[in-house]
Amino acid sequence: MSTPTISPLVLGKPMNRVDGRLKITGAAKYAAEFSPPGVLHAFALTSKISKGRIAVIDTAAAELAPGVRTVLTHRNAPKLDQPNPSKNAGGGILNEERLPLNDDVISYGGQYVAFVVAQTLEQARHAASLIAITYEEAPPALTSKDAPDSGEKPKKNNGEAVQLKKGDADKGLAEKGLVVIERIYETPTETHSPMEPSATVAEWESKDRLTLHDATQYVKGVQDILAQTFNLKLENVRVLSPFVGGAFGCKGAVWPHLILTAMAAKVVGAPVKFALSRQDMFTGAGHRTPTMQTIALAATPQGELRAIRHRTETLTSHVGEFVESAGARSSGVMYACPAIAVEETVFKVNVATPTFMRAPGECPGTFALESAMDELAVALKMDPVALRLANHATQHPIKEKPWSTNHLPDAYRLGAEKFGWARRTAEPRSMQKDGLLVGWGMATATYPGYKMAAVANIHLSADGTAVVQCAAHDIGTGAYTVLTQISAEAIGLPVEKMKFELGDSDLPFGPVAGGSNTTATVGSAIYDAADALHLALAKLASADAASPLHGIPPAQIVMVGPGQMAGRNGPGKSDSFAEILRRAGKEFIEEKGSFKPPLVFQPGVAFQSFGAQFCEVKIDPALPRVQVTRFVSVMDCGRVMNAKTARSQILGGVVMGIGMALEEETIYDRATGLPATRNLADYHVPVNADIPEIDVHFVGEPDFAFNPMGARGMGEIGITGTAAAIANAVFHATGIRVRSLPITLDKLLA
Amino acid sequence: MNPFQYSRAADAPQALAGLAHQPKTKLLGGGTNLIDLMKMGVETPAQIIDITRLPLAQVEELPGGKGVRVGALARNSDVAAHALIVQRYPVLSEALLAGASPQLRNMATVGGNLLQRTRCPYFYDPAFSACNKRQPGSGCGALEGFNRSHAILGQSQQCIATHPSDMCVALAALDAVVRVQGPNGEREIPFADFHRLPGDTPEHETNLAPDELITAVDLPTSAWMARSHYLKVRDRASYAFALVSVAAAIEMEDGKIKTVRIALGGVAHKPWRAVAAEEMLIGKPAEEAAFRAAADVAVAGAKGYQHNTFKIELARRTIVRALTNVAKA
Amino acid sequence: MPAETDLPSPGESPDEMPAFGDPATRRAFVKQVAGTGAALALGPQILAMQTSHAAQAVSATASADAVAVTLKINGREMPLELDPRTTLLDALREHLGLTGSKKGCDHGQCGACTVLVNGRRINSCLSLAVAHEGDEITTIEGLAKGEELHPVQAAFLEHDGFQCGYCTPGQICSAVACIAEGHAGSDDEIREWMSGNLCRCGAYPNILAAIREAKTKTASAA
Repeated sequence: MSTPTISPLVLGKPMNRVDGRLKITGAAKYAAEFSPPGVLHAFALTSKISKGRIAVIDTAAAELAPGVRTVLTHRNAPKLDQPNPSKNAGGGILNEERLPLNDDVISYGGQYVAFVVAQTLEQARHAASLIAITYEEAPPALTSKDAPDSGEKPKKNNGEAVQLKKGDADKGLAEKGLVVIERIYETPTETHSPMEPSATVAEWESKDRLTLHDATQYVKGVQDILAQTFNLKLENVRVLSPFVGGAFGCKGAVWPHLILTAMAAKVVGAPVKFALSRQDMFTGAGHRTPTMQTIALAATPQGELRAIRHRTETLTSHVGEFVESAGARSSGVMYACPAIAVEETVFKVNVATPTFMRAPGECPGTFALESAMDELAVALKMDPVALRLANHATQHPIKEKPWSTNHLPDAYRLGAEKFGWARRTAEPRSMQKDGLLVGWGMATATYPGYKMAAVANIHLSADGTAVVQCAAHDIGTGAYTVLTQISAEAIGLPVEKMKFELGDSDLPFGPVAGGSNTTATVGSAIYDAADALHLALAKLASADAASPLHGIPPAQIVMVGPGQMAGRNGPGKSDSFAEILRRAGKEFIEEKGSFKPPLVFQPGVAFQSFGAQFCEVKIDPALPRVQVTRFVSVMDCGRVMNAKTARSQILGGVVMGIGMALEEETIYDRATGLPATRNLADYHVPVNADIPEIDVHFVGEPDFAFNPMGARGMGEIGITGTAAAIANAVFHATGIRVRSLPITLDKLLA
Repeated sequence: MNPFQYSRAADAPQALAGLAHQPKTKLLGGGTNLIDLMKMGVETPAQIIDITRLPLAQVEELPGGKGVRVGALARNSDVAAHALIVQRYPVLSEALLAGASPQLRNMATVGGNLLQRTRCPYFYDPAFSACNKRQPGSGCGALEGFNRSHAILGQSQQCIATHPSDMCVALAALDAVVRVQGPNGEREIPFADFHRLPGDTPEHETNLAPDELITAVDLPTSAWMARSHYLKVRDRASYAFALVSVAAAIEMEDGKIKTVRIALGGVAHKPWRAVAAEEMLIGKPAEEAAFRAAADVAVAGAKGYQHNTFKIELARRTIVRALTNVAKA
Repeated sequence: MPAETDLPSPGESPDEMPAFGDPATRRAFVKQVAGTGAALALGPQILAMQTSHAAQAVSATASADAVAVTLKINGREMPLELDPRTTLLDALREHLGLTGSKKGCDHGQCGACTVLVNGRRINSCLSLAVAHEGDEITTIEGLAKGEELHPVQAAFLEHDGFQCGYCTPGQICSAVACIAEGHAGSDDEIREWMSGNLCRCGAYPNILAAIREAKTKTASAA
């Protein structure tokens, strides 16, 4: 692997999105917008109960309705092969493991019970309404209290330890002379609610070839699971996802609708399009589990943490596993402390399976931990920033490895300066203005540096343009743009000469767009491919008597500037990509590169991003709806690849964090277990008027131990700490500590 | 959405004939509520008569200083921006602008807004089988269910849903009159009599007969109406239904309250006029103590449920704030 | 999500597909030359070519009770036979191949389907297509003049007023109307009058900046 040998051509520049024009003109095509000739439309009927079984299902009227081609239920659905997500390396993700329409058992409200295919959407929707079902219903378990015996303590989550123990936290909490607080924090069920509902268009080109247009964060994962389910060769399943209308985690797994759509297309012998309704998105594509977190902190009167105990209860379904490691991913990385205990218990209930939602673990975990730190600061009569600086972890507190880079103290200091934190008066309700209560709060943000596996292919043409390919994804993150910039930088070409292709399972392997890993992973593969490309060019030049570089050992020939190769040690002679290819009689040259963990560029270090969130809220004391009026977010994510899209990533995280803090809650009806807020009028996400100016800054240095670009991911860290910063500001404004999100005005009416 | 016959009425008699001919007819105005509910399977008309081209979209002064007539097909956005409304009935303009979104206000009509149906999830989502309003006799899912948005005043054991309209709260305060046309000609319905409380028949939401067409809303003229104000409290800064809203107006004479109006939204099955609270304010100074006492009276009979008890205190505070604002104006 | 995975190996070669489903419904699978194509290749040099794919596939089949209607969209008369249940949004997306207008909620709760009808912004998901005979309908595909972007589009691009792009056509149509209505006078006014368009990616501050700039340019152009 090389490190950059030239001054940056385009890395870091605030370049506009390369796919921007397609998006602003309406020309970007999302999954449901592909209409193969003869495509039929599907509508799903979902269960009205959450526990029990289907006793009678009568589809006769629906089958006779105009335009209907098939009505699939558990009685007539083809039996498929149970896929195994871990069968193939780099395989897909199944959060709901049970196959759809497999039996008559109802495990959660909103479960698909019938799938109607008709010529038009209206015909399918109407026919679905004609299906009569009699259920045998049992009282559902919806909370851990309903199913206390179902609790389990998983050892690992995605290969990482969930239950952590360092030192003796119980003993630390009992030590004399310490200031101790213990509190319970709760976060509700939250639903991703991307603007594009999940959608699949399935087309069988022959009995053993399947093409899917799918809104997914993982084309290779969908390919893997679908190939297994339908017993197809992997290469005979093609998954296309050039544009994804937001995901935030809910399009990472293969959800039942994908299998249903492919199944239905097979049964009717025509392409089938299924877009989830907004209602379906609350039960058919995952959600963030509610959490109940009990945190105990002990500190010396000077503010030195001596013990952290973080116990979390979360929920999963009866048909799939999911662990939201709130404690491990917040208290397990954040502060220097001799005793840390993290426990996680997962209960099984009659609710659909949860999944990854932006910063799974860190997001609810930092709400709890950073609220508790604020409570500790109040108890200690200490400034919240000073308390955090006093407990800054100079190495990973559990792994006890040094950080690759860590500039969190700079983030606190810059954030405090930009925000004007020094003017804060500590006493709650002390900063009123114009009849409004003003509150200032802060919290720490964190997210790990993740890398997965990828292969990149470079196709360099003699005309000086290049195409770089990887089955990666742009779910709004800016991957098209940033990977174009990285390609230009790595290959040594002007960005105008580059194009990047992604979102197609026919391309070389790309990882799931999750864990904020795409830039680090795919970028590393691009650099590896660029090295191979340069070596191939060097060999051609070295062997070519007409080249100014003739005879220089290929290993000594490097890329020295846009489209130029030269000897590493001079003396000033150079040759161009185009000339090398022209003289070799080649129209193009193609090279691959790859990246595969656990390859690291510097062993023995821990990769983790951190940041500081500062916010101001204003609250009318009589009618106490919380309005966030200022926000400063300072992040240490290594090197910034594109100043414009990076800022947007952090903005977006903060906005979603504002929603989490103040508005978002999926509420389940006690009797039926159905979500009672399954639409965007009742599940509130922030609107424009909820959002103030958000001031984003970056600190730190390139993390070249992590990858040749020096970049860590940015997709998730922006949401972390945001809810706590707001809750802490609300306490500062009102004197009321709200430990249960969202902070709706009824919680402040006291 | 079930199949239906679509036709466009050229004039009011055509629309009325259609209503008379087919009982399962719905008139299509802005469609923002009707199409929504048809997609949910809550409304299942056999016939849709598009009345959007009828000449009922005017906002005009009535002769003889009798007030302003707002056509039933006037769009919410047009009414809100109309100079006559902004100047004489600010509460109505403010209420309209507090509702929905700019796009929906460009579609929604005055007549449609009068007939807007509740946002109760047990009504709106037919996956819930218990809803006396949608399916008389099936029970009320909200009583023991999720009832944060629900009524605290005037509800019954059969239904605790609320009326979701902002506009109607303002019209309740303004003593508006609904003009309707039926097979036997025109009639007027005083606003207070237009919407119904649920009682034992929550499926009957208004006193409009099935064969009648709303043609206009008449706003009377009184000087106090220009000193009126709408205050909406909701869960986000915009584009949300009211938790509690208050339409208020005050007229002073010799330092005492001569006329006052208090109408509440988000708290009952219909826009809720706090008549007793209004009466006790007459002759009082426009001061916070009097407003507080009136607010206590306004919520005196209120009853909350598991998730909405906070609305009682919130209604009290919103009344005080709305009266304070309008008194200062 | 798996934090670390190995590179994939090609899948095992499966056996012949077993008998699948009810034989009565099994059909010969016709290999179709579908318009699915390859993933869009993106790069600055090709972007100029990628404009509207309008009027591509007329995929939905009209039902027996279809009603004839002619819609005037972006200045062009479009005759259609539609099931009266078809919303304006579905007519655009499924019958005319104008997929720029988006379906986010289908219930007037998100604004992704915003189009301009006779110059006014509406939610096309809550409007029956047959009710729009004679109306002038403008969608996102009709805003640019050839290669020249509408000032609002250009400002969204420059200010990164979008991420995933799915709410974007609705935001832009809404913003065009917001400026034309005179509701872009201050930041807070823009925020309020753009609150009918949800953006889950959270691009609101950038959308605000884009509209602020576009308003200035629109004003100076007028």
